Amino acid sequence: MNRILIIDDDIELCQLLSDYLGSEGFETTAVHAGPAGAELAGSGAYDLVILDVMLPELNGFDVLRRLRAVSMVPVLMLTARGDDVDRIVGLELGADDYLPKPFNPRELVARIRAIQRRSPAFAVEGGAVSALNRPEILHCGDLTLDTGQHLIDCDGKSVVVTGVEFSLLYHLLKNAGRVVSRDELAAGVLGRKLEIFDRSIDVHISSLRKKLGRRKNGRERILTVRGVGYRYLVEDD
Amino acid sequence: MSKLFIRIFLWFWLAMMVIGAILVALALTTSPMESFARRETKRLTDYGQQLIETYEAGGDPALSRKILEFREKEHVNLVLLNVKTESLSHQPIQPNLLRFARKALLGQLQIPLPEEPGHRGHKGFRNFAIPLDQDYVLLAEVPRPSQLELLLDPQALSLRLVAIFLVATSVCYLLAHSLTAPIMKLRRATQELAGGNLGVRVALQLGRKGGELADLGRDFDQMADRIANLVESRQRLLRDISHELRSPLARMNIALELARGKAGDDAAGALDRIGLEAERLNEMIGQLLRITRLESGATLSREEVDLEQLLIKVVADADYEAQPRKRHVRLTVRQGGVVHGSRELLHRALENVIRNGLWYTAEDSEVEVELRIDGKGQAAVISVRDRGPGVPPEALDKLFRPFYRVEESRDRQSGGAGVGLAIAEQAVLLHGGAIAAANAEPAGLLVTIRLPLADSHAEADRLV
Repeated sequence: MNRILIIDDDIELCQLLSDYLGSEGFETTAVHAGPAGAELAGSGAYDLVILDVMLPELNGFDVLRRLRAVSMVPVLMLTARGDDVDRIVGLELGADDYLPKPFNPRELVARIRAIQRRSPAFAVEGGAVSALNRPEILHCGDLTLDTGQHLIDCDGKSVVVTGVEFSLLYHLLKNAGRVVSRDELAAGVLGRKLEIFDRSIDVHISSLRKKLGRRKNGRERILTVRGVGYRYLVEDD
Repeated sequence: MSKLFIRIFLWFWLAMMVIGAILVALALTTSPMESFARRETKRLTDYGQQLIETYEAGGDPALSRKILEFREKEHVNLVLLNVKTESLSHQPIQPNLLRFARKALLGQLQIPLPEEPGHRGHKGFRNFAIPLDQDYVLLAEVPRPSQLELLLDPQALSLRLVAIFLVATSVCYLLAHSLTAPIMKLRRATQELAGGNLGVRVALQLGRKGGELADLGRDFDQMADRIANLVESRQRLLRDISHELRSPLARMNIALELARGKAGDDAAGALDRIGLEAERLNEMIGQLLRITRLESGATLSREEVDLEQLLIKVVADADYEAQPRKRHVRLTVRQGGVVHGSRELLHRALENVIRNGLWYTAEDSEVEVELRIDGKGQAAVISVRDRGPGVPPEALDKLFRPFYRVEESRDRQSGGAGVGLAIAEQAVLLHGGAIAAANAEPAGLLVTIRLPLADSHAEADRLV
């Protein structure tokens, strides 16, 4: 669960990052171009992908799109500083989290570890105790979530989501019928505090909504509670 | 010769020709003399009726008296004839007049009597022969209208005046319009360009005709293109520079962490310092990027921002930050207010101003922040007052310029790039507001921000 692929055209940065991540216990491979990166990332040989959006040739988002068409491997985007649009687009395309460049390497490691904690593969191989360690099956209405198999069944159909979305849905279902604050969700799902004006959680919720769709009776599944957080609606809500 | 010259020349020349042609046409088709004659015929017919009544009531004497009356009062000589063309008032009549009278009776005459050469009427008089009721005929001698009277004949005159008026008005209107319309379009485009819309172009609007104005339009478009390019390339340059700066910074950060891992405790302090400076560089780049984006005329989101809530938060955060430095900030007046705009931008703007105040305020002193609504309920007024040394008067309006420092040598430590207040100004302006700085008594700086409230007239004006 510590094989990391770095896709970034800055060769020196990749070298430094490999050294640093290596000292933190990760196995890293670096690739410097988009197309090759997309292929490698989707090959299943890696547990996490660090993707720079500012790539020449095929830009980071296109790589992400190609990747998501074949794989749900966790992706951490490295974005340009101060560019909110980039962040949101990236999250919508299915990235798990982002980090603006230049970043604090310790912050990077923290986010990588947060993503690891969510991953079922990690849970199976052992590691730090986490709520996802023991396989759980959650039911709510027509929705079933299996953390062991990492499956979501919605009204008989299987739904494919990213690691973050899975974790998000898990937290909501665990607290079905109750409001979960955005800060709580950020801590549990992203493993970090939400920055001011940070819309990461909102974007992921929006993706979830799209993928799950509404209930049979046309009602929404996830309710936005303004200024507080979100709530998964139980049938008779 | 310029096309504009030719155009104006031709327009007026054409106008003159048309007016002349119309006048000639009118002259040919109407005749004041005729309308005079028609009018007189009516009048005389009426007199004739009166004469008939008089005659039939009182016979010759009465008729003669009436005729005299008419001559004296109306200055017309009237003779009433019967079917046999005998004068009923026994007045002598010239033979050719009698002939006319007979013709009139037979209906062969056009009224009035045409001028005939050799016709010996009195000079300055015209003769009329009007058949009345089939039994009578009236011969009348009427003073000829003077040239002036003919000229001032209402019908003909009004027709001419109307014609001239219409032609002149429409020609002048069209010409003036064709000259000023493109100029107005050009003005509007220029104003829009000055207001920040770099995409405005006029050539199409001014038409493809030749001429100086269309050329001017094309010149304007070229100028607008050039300006847009210049602005864009400046933005791009700043963005690219910032981007380029990011890469070495990113690498440096990682190298720093690697160094920390390998270094002993002795080096920790120095390494921390490196980290701090790197963070400052980072912050500066962020600010630079922000200001280039603001200056390039970013569009504003339209959220509802509760100023009171926002200020409470900003002040609380800033106060917390300032505590280790033994300075405080307090929100002393809060009258509330909602504006439409970007919460994030306003947050930054207010934060920058308050941090600036905190930086300069004396130790153990307090920065006071007030939120008021102006008298007419149109705008929110936020004031930030510190107890620092203030700013020399000549520097007051330069404060909001990017990178401006009051004293060059001082305050390299503030961490910002000197862009904080510039960002604040841009953000406030984007919201249709205003920002100003003044020295407070006895010492300190007072920064005042005005923002139009949501749904106020001030906002409506801004949106137009």
